[in-house]
Amino acid sequence: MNNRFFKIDSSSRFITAITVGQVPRDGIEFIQQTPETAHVAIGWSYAAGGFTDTSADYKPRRNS
Amino acid sequence: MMIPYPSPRRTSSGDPGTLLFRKRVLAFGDFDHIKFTESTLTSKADIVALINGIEVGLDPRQIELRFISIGAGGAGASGASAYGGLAAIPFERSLFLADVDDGDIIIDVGAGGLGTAGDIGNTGSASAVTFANGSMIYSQGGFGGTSDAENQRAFYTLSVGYGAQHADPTLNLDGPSSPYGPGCGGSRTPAYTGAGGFSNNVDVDTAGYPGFGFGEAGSNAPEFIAGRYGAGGASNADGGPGGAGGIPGGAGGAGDAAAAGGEGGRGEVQIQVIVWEIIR
Repeated sequence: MNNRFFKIDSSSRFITAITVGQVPRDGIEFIQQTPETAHVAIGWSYAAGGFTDTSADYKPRRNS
Repeated sequence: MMIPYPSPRRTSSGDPGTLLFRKRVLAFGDFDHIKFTESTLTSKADIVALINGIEVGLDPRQIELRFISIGAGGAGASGASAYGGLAAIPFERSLFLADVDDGDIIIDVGAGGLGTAGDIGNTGSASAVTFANGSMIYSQGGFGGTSDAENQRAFYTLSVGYGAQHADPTLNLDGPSSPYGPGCGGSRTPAYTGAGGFSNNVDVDTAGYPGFGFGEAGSNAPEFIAGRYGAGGASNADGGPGGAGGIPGGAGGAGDAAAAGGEGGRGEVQIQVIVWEIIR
């Protein structure tokens, strides 16, 4: 778990992927996955320090 | 009708003027490619430096870069009846070094989907190469296993849209093999505990062996060789977890109701460097 990171779209706040390692850049931020957040998946959102299951509203885009 | 006899082309000296070419794969130590097993910020200049560390004096117009993106495998579901995860869908594209954009190249490596006891499996994440001009070489991760045939077929349909070549995973409880990619995870019912699927099943020399026994993991690809993939993990009964998918891209098998589905194999990005040259 120590090298897994949530890849987060800075504007929509959706988690678009979980990556091994991280490359932060303009518009994309990363937060480390922990045992407590092992269930958090693509389509959830990260805002105000908390994770929310928003996968029903998530439409995958390949360029994010 | 008479077939016109082709007149051989000749140089002024009368020689046929034949040129012999070959494509030579550049070795990086024991590896036949440059391997990225985690996300990395690199650049065209970094790749040029790596190549120059092996061989100097090559022309960027004779260096083909074969980029292979491999997403991560999906996790298996967990339940009395549950499906295994789906394999990642690798994608490759070749560019000559001279045509690669100057500047940063971002490598994102997808992490494998995780399983949860009593729940569906999570989807494996994409791996991608992103160039300075925004162009991407992208591989979709494998979708997570589900607990019913309708949802499993919906994810299978999405997979085919991304280029998956394996069969419908609801047709058989043994996970489908992929002719040219990673293997899918095994599925289960109370009456049957399915094995995983082979990777690269088109060629017995390069195929990866899947998990067969209860909860057995799919084999990892040999790390030195480009274009090989992880096999699928087996499903499990008797309260045990599903077998993990092989690295890279293999999917996890279904777990028993009390245990998690197997984790998908992580993704990877490979760059094979191919030198085009004249033999004589």
